[in-house]
Amino acid sequence: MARPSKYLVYIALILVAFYSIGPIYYIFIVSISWPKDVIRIPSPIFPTDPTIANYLRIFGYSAVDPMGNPLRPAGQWRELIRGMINSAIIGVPVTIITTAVVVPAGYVLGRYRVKAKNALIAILFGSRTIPPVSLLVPFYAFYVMTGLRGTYIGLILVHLTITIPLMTWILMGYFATLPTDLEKAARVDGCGRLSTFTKVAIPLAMPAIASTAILTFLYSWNEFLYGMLLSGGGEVQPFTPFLTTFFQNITVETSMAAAAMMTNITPALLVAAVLQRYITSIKIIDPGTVVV
Amino acid sequence: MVKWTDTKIAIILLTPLFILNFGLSIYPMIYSLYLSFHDVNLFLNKFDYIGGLQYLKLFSDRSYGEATMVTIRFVVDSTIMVLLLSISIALLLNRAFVGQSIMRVIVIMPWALSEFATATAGRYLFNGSYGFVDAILYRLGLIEKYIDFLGSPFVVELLAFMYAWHLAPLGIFFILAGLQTIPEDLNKQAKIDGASFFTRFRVVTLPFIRYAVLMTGIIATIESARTADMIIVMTGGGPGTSSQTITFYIYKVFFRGLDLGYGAAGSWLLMAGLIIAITSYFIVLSMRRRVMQY
Repeated sequence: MARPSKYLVYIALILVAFYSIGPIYYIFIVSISWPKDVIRIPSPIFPTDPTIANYLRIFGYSAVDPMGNPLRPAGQWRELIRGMINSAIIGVPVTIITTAVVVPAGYVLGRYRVKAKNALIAILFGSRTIPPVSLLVPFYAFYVMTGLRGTYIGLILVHLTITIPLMTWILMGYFATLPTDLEKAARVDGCGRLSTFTKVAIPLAMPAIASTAILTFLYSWNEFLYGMLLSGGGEVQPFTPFLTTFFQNITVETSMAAAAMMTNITPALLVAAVLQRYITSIKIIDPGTVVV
Repeated sequence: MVKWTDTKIAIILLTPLFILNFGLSIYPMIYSLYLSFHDVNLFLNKFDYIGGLQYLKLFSDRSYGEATMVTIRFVVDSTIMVLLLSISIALLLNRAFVGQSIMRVIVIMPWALSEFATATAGRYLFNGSYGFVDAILYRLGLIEKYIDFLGSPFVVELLAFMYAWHLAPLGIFFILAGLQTIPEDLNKQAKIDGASFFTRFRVVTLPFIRYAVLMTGIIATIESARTADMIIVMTGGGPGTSSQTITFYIYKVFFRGLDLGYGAAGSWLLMAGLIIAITSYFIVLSMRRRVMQY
């Protein structure tokens, strides 16, 4: 029987690698190209004449192109930095609140035999399947009536609708697979249920909790739809939704847009690289560890 | 002193989740159901009860019908693509090779990106003035001038491809975990017995990953029915209305006219479809026992 040779496997792996990072690679290439090169046909696919001018320009510095012509900063660079700060102002409380809520809840749902647990899990899963546009309508009505539209608190609240169900789901699966021996030993030694949770389970799950917190921040950073429609533009708009405005600005050339995009996705790429082992071991999509 | 029973502690630890999840997801959905029976205009201070009129309007709305067809096409396309990609890449990654850990990091990258970034990447790949695909095809001499793929009749498939690119890593690692439970001997024995690749896949591999594949398919279905970001950013529903899904249509109705009642009714009709999907999800879950025992 013909065995696929080793080379064939490596060729396939190279193709898969190209497929996985090709799109990101191209945005990167555009982001380090001169604006004039990008609109030429064919557009660059290799870094022939790399430059960091685009990155300088989106952060408010001027640059000079190879012909000696001055290149002015991007039109809305102040708003861009403002957007990054807003994302942090929103993301940090979202991360803290989410972690404080989902750690105890995930522990109980993953460990305890509680009545109506399956009903709770079904509600949780149900809220994970609500399309964001469906929540947009009631949230918008509510925010306009209460004046929460265009405030940090409004955006923090709406980000929690994404992070809380998902992170409870993840930690619930994690606690369900964590060995129970240590906790049992603690109970035997006279530790109460609450202190078993705070003194044994939490320290044991610390790496997972930290990773979940980082993922929460990433989800808040990545959020787009609510940030665009509930921020009321300007002032409190986070980085990701701001980019749509930025891309439409006529002073922003394609290469600058690519640089802004790279700045936006770099945290995500870093998180993926650092937490790869954790992300692939958690059961984001498998409720089977807890239900049934 | 209070006696800390299991139930009491469970209730205390679950209360924050219950309050926030109920207050932030369940209650707004109920409020949206209430809105869907009203004619609402926040700026004219109009809030009239009109019964099921919004739903009647939906059923006679040609655009909503078209959006439903586009949604079905998008969901079916992306689910099939997610399954094909994740099964084949998982099979590949399951082999022994040098650089396994780097490869895993590379493969998970698309998942970490936001839908916004995925859609933007889609524009960089397929647009007609500086697209990556055009740049490659042009250099290879396969095309004379740039093609605007986003204006082609296959725009829904391109959207589905990008969405599958973003979702597939979840399925890849889930299926990979299933593959790693296959006993080494089983595959070897099948090879010795002279079974072909496809027979081995069907008889040896599939039973071990059946559950993971099912779950991946269901998640892909639900996620692709939910997304609005992808369409808003990558195609804006275009060309014309040819990539306008239900979620995008609701967004448009909402954004253009601020017709909250109609938007709410449209999203509840979508929810009805999703509830059917979720129900089948839980039916599959209860089937899991049998699969596992097998």
